Amino acid sequence: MQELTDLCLNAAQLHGASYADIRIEERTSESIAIKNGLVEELASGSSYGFGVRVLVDGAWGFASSSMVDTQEIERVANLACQIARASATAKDKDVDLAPVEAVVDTYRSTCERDPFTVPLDEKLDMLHAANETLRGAEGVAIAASQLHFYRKKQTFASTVGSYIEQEITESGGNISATAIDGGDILPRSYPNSGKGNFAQAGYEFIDRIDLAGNAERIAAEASALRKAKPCPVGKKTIILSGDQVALQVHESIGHPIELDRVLGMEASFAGTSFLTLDKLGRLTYGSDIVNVVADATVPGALGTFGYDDEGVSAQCVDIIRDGEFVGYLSSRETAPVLGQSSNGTMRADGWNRIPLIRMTNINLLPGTWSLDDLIADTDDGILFEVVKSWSIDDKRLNFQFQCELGWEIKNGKRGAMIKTPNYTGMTPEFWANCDGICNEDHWTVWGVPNCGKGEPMQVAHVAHGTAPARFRSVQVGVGK
Amino acid sequence: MIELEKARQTIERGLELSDAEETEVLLYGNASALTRYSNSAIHQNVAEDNVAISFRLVNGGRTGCASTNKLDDDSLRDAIVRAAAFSAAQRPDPNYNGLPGPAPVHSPQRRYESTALFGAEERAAAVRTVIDTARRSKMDAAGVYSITTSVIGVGNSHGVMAVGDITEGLLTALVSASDSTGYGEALAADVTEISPGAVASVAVGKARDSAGPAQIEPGAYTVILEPPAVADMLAFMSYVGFGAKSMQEKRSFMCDRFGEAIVGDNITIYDDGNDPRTLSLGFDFEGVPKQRVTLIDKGIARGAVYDSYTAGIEGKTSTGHGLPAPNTHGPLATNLFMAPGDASLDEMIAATERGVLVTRFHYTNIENPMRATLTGMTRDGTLLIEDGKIVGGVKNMRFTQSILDALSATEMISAEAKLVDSFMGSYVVPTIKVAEFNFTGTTEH
Repeated sequence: MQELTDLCLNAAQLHGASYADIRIEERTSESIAIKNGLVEELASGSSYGFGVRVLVDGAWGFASSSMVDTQEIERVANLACQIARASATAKDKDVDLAPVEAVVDTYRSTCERDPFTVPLDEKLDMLHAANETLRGAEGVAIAASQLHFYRKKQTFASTVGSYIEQEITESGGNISATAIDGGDILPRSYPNSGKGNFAQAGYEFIDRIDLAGNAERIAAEASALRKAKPCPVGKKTIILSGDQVALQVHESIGHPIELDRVLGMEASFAGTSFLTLDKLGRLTYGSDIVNVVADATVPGALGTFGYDDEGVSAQCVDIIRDGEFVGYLSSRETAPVLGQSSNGTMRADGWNRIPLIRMTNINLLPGTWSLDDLIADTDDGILFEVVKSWSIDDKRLNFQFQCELGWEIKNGKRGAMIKTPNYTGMTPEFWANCDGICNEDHWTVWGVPNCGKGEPMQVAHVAHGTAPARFRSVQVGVGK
Repeated sequence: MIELEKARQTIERGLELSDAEETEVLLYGNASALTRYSNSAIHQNVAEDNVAISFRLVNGGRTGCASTNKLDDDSLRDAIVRAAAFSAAQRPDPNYNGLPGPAPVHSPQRRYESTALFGAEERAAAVRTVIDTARRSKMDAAGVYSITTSVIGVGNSHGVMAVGDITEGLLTALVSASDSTGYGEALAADVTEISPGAVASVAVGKARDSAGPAQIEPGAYTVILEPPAVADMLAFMSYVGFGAKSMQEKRSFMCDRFGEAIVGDNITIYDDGNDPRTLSLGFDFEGVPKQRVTLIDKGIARGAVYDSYTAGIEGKTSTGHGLPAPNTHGPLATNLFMAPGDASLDEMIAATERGVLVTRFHYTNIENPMRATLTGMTRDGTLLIEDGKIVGGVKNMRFTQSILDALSATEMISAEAKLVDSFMGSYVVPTIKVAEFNFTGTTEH
């Protein structure tokens, strides 16, 4: 492999590159989805290729191909340089990369039981069993159970002198029961909605989340949602479950701290950020119990790696400390704007995509409450569980999130079920009203396999370590 | 980039190598390039060349799928073995009704050499035009110029063989002034139809008109929704409600309502992948010819789009709206049209006593699929209309609104319709004026 990477880097330099890197990647996947007792998806995917990124005349070029041979590598390296020269005709200033040390290393995520060799019958039997249980509850119209497995094998080399090989295996899945009642579609999912919860792990993670063992409870809750109360309208104290705090962190902290967004590089598509450079170290992001880190070193988390796609080592950095905003996610190109070196967050969605600043594991550090005590301490509120719908503005300020279900809290006790409650707010005001975060006993890392960004669109796998948290004076019941 | 004949040969080779009862081979070749600019400078510039092939094997009503992007015989055999193993492991699907049979495909000319050969230098020149136009108004520019050439081919063991190629160019421009932004875009199969200066001028005009935005209170407003906003609404209608699967699962707003008025009688929505104004090959990802399907006719729910699986369940034939297998979503209408009216944008503005003109939406999502209720934000040119005139910009607003209600309250529709790039396909849609549209929140910009 090193012969190919050397060939590429030499070719790029011969064509005028002052910097070049190459990633050769093979990605494999397996997906199994069952709906109402029938297999809806049973598929295996494989994609192999390489991408070359170069700086020529101070501007970027990138080209990629699925044909991995010497002739194609030389052609693509040359093409990347041609593209960079075109970029240079419309540049503002030369790209200035923060320094990085040359690294020769390997990284492999933990995988106790290879999910790609677990017998298919075992996976199908478990999913069918869960699916059958889901269908046993009255009013459940759609029962779904699914598993997904991903593996990335990557070789990275750069003209800095780095040569890094990484292999990352991911596993995840979920179950969901959906009741349809008149004008309402009422899903209930476990352990999370969408594709579920994910980790860098093997099949042992699937055993751990015990989909079949949770099916009866989930189906019963979906059935009960048909008779649940509508969401009240007004300002309420709310408690978000850990998975919903993860969504809240993702949308209202994780994205706005991406320094490329802050600098306008995502302006026309995903948007920019309210966290302009003048706010670093000067903005109160939340109450003083809010502490957030970007930690790419959490064992088994979906946003963990050895090195990012610029060869920068994984790090844990402060983002919000005691409520104060203290750090962005950065890259070799953007970090010099702050006079810093990269904190290692550049990742690409495959060999055919350029790396972008992506969330790693953006974690809200645990607080001191038990969930029971937090509920007991709440006179009048709503507990929100599991995201159903999400939307936030192009500077990441005004958000509106809808959950699958909620629970009334009256006089410190969990009461009636509420169907599809929603809430809205403005990011700094919302986090300023956070007055309770549950302790490490409730703290879970939630894997998010569907974080979209960039043009062409890229989907990143990220994670958020969170615990349930309480927020005061939040508008609920929008449009009800 | 793979040639059409090579694509056909590869599909035939894949079919030869499989001994399943039924085999489908889908080939997707893609040569694409995208120049991305922000702060009035190019900051990303990428190119990609890829060919992927996927197999759908069916034995006794049991389906397995596998894909690879290596086209040698060993790799094709490996994918077939994987798909066959998946097929063998599962239970028969009693609803399965077979892969589609062959039917004549009309594949319109959708490949333009002008687009396929539009290189990095040409894209950079176009971007410089946008940047220069913005700078003349002391504004910054951001956006993309993307070029895609696709070769898509589908063959199956029943004799289906459909292969075609298509080009697409998309230029977007987001122009930023001190306290406002404006947006313009152009989408075409032939890039010679894209005028960077015109796209930039639209964006500059929007940014200029929305300068000094005022904050207005949330509430019900008359709105004029320009084509990107209309396309966004239709994309979600399509996603949750126009496909046969959503109806069979009883989760569409059109369930059990065929023949019933669900929106105003001035609204007609149909899907037509054969119309030269949209971007489509004449067949779907199962190789079935695309049919025109009227979804809503003069306000009345009339039809749904089908793929072979959902059509089989109802004893119908596919309308040519299948997605690549394995397809958990079901059929999708990707070439929507909303029938035009007879108004001009100026007439709509003149007829508005107090309202908001929306250029486009941002981060729309579904609150209630059965009412097609969406929430999202406005962005990049949100303008206040008073007494029939645009009087300035307003800070962006959040809406929470049933699209069925909005289309029931649509008072005017423009005669001009525009091809718009949607995340669910390419749509041809007009500007519409809606009497009452619910804004439920505001933001700071």
